[in-house]
Amino acid sequence: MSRTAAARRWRWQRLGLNVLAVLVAVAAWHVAALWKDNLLVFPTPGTSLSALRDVLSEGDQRHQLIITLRRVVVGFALGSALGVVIGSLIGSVRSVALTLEPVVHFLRSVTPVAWIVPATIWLGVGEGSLRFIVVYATVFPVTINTLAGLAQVPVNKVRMARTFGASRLRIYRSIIIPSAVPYIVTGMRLSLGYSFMSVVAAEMVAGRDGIGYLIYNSRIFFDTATMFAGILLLGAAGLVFDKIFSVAAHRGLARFYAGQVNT
Amino acid sequence: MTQPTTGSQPRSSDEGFVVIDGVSFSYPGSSQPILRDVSLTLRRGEFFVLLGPSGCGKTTIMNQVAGFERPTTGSITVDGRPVSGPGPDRAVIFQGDDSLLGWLNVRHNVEFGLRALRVPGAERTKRVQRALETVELAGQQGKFPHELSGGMKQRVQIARALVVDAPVLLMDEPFGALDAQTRTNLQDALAGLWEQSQRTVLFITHDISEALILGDRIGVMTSGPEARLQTVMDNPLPRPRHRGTAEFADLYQQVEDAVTAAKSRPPAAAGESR
Repeated sequence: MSRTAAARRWRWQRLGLNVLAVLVAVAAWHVAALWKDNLLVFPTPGTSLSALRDVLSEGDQRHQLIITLRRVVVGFALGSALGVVIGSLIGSVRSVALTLEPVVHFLRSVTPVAWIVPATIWLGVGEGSLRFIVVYATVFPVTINTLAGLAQVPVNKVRMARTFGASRLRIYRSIIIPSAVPYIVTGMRLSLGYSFMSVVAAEMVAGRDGIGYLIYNSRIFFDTATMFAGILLLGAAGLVFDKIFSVAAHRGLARFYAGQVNT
Repeated sequence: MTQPTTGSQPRSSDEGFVVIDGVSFSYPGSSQPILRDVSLTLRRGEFFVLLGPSGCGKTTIMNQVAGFERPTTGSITVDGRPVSGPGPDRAVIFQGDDSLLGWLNVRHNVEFGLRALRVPGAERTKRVQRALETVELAGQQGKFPHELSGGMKQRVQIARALVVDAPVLLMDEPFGALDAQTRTNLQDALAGLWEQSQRTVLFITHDISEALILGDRIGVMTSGPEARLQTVMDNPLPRPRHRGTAEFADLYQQVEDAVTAAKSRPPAAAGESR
């Protein structure tokens, strides 16, 4: 009884702290804007919110958000799938590991932003380049985490399967991959954040639409309020997507986390 | 790669069912062997306990018989066939619980070997049910490993090994991590279960009382490295065995003396053969 009451109280406290943090941040922003005293350069939360309202109320601009989110989702899905495949190959085939692993470690140190201009030269301004950049940003964290997941499979699980004469494929499918699921999910969660970051940069240079383009285009009119509106949208969308992903992953894949703390 | 080797005519003489012949083992690049010249013959249907201090290479012997590792020198045969890798004729019950698959429930964990061996579905269900009844887990088959106690988890491992009808069971300190009460219960349960099934068991432990409750014969190992098999003792206690009897206490003393002697044996003895 008292435990559930304590849990409920804790939940309210936590919510209270969350709200307080947001209020403090908004207040600090407001004070900073007043101190700068130039709405053109540094808009207040109020002017940014009204710009955000304008963006969301206008169908054409609202559509920019949809466009960006679609790029994130598609690029993230493709990049993650590719990351699992590459990570699995490196983790299980020695010749692939020897040839591909140095390349992966080389490429993952190069920020996706560096590829935007070459990508537009190869693939043109538009979806092709943007997708390439988002896939590039997501593939490596998933690859690296898949590799880490494959490396930590308890040896006794594999030995157990071998005593029953399980084939390599069966060991892979029913022991190694399931053991690696929590690692892969962590890699995907990182990647989801990276895909938000990279898509905006790519849209600024190689896009004709999307939130990145909206922000970049606002410079022409010195419309900092709309830039801030775009930033608020990106932050909110990133937060919501991260929450959706982690809740969905932990619910949907709960049994692969069984027995672990913090599920 | 894991199938038992076929071709050679199986010799099913009851004398040498599992034959460990002059096995030494050292890791590649290491000059100091973990095992030195261990020879041991298990009769069919025998419960053999390998007793020794921790770090003496008991698990290494088991890994060789299971086929996880290959002896550096010497050979191992099971029913006349040389061991060249793991195989379904030798089921293993591992020390900890990390061989259980946390994402599968009890029933599916037990079923794993049958699936790998491509046993048809209806028969799988029947055999899993029987195995779970044997280890008294029939009511827990929907549970996941993390929902089970340590003792129950080891029962799941035992069921998983029994269900494939492997003639040889290899048990590596299966009760080592359990509390005293649970350990005692499982020892008695295993003794009863073995009497029904009459499989050949190689059981590894450092617990003398456990060795006396379970083993037909007890092999005492020297301390590692360069561990050897010091002596093999018969265990004449009638089954079912009880821990409180005078004979039990007597034998306990004898085994303990043998263990102490094996421990204090100077490593120089190994140098004789150099």
